Amino acid sequence: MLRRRAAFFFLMLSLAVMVHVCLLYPLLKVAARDAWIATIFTLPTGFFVAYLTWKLMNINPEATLVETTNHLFGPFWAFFFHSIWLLYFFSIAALSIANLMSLLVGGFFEETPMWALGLAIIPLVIYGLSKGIKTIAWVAGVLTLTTLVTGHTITLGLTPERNFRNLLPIFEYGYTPTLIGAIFMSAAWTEICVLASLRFHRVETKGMLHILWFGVLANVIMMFSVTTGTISIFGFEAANDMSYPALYSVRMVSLGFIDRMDVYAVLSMTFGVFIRASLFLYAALQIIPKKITKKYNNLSIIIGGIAVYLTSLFIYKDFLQFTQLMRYYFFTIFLWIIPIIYLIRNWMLKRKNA
Amino acid sequence: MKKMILLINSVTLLLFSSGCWSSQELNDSAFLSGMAIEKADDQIKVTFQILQPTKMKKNADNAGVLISSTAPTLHLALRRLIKGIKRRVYLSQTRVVIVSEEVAKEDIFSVLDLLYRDQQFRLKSYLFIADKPAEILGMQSPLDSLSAYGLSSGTEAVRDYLSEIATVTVKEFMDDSMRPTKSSYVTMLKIHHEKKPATSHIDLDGIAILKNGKLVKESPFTKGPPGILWFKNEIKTGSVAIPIGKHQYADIELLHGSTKMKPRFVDDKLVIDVYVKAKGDLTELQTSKDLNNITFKEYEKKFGEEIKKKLEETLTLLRKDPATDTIYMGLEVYRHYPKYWHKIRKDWGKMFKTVEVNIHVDATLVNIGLIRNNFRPKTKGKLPDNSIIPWIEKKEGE
Repeated sequence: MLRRRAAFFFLMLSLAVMVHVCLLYPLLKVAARDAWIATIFTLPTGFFVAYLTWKLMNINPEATLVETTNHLFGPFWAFFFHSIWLLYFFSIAALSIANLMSLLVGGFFEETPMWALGLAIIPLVIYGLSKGIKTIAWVAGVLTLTTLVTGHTITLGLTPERNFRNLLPIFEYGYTPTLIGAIFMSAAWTEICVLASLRFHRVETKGMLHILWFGVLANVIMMFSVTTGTISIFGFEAANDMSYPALYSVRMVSLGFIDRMDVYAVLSMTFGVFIRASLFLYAALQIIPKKITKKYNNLSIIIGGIAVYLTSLFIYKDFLQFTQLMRYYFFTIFLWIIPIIYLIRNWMLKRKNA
Repeated sequence: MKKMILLINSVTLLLFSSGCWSSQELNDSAFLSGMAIEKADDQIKVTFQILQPTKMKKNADNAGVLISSTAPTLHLALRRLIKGIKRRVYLSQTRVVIVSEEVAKEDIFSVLDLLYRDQQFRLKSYLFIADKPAEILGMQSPLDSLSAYGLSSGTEAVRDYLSEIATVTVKEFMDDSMRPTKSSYVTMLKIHHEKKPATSHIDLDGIAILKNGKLVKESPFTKGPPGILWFKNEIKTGSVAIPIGKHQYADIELLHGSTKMKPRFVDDKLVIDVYVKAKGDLTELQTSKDLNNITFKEYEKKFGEEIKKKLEETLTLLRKDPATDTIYMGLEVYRHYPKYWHKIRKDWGKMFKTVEVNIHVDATLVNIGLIRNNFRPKTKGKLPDNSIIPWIEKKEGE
């Protein structure tokens, strides 16, 4: 069982990679200059999904997600839901590796083959998972504290470059692009559900819900900071033209002894993707029947890691194709319905038994 | 099994600990400090300044080597450079990029694309336009070991202490060029030759104004730099000389300057109000006229008038055909009235020439320096007019 604070560490590292790095490019395309307002609008939906996840965790705090699903729906329908969860968790793990490879190849190691970069991170993920989810939670804790310091340093370092008038005009094309942007970004909150596949201490307390909400709030602040940062530094027109807007921002940071802080992007993205891919691969492996994973624990991790690696190579063909593919990420928003179905089914069973 | 996994992982990770893919030894690398881009028939001729670290270490006068390369694209020119320098070239130390007037008149974007697309270039490199870029790059810097470094540090000093002179980095040029008004500017460089003693130096000579990436007009600094940075609210410090008599000037050190532009409609007609606030210290006075409350206020007023004059001259320059709104005036209209902007954006070039602009300057003087008057008023044994000694009363008639 994990301590409750681990949930916050996971949200800070895993979710942050998606919401304030990977989704920034499509968000600027969807919500244009008002992307920063769209990030604020995602706060209520984030709280809502965090609440759903907390309720999902509390259907049976002692049981895993698989056990809960089996209990609620029986073997046939449980298989159906397990397949969806498995596909989702596995896809996110692969997508994360693809995102890392995309940033590294596009922004740093142009000549390094994609497969070599993926191959560098996958052994870390496999090793981390072989040590258990607790170890990954510890690493996430240390990295969260580190990024809290470095993140603020970057923000402060960029202050002289900002011109907040670049954020104007607001609502140029009405509220629609902003709302669409908010809905698009809200798809990322589906990832909070991954925490339901982990087991935490005292999950039934309100404290756990507050931790989830705090994690959502922290992510919204990060999204807000990055969107306002990129637009205020470069102006919307230039920011919208960038393949990796977040990377362009850190390129502007000069700390005197380091002329360009590109390396920060490599570090934070690698750390984030390591935690993220490990977490989602762990969640995916939890769905696979215990008979297999318990007997062949390490082998299943290796096979899972290799499968994630190969899928990530398959996902990323070229940058434009990959950004097209990222649009489908939006559809994960429909997975919100699954926790709702779980809760309704639980309510029905309770009523029936009563 | 666990030991096996550990072993496999360790061996795999060891493969990557030996270094990066395609790693390059420092001794086998060449670092670019500046480049000059010129036209050569239908290709571009690029002169690269490569720094020589061993010479730099010894503080040698000229620690760089110039090599030219001709190709249809900048990237190919860079790769062809390897033939001459015999090493792989790294671009992250590039401090200045100088583009020839000829290239700028044709299309500057086509040669700058690589600077934005490639991850190696730094966005804070300074961008210049010159008539003889390669010659400028080859000149010895008076204080630095490389002309590119000299230009770069000199430009930084200008930005800090003479910010009325508009200079741009590659990033700033990109931002301005992509704004709705599509107009931007680049500082121009020129070699100045002194006859006695016979020396040459590079000077920031004026600004080149570009529209849609093409140089359309120039403004030399012979009459002083235009007030573009005033309009853009980017003024920091500087010096303003105000005429106070025949061949007499007062100089005011600018402490703070800020500008706000507010478009509004008067009877459905667009009017733009420009509000300027300036604060300065009196630093030089070329008159024997007594400095008192009246003259102080007079200088303060003239300080404001001088700034206003500068802004009006700038506006006149930018309004000349073709109209180039590099001062964010259209951008402010867009920010305040986006719907209106979309209606007029195609005609903004014409509108910019005629739109009513009201410039309001609020200038204040704060300090007068360490002395009051350079030439003491003659008192002839009497108390001066500006006497403030309270216990000596002036006698009537004095």
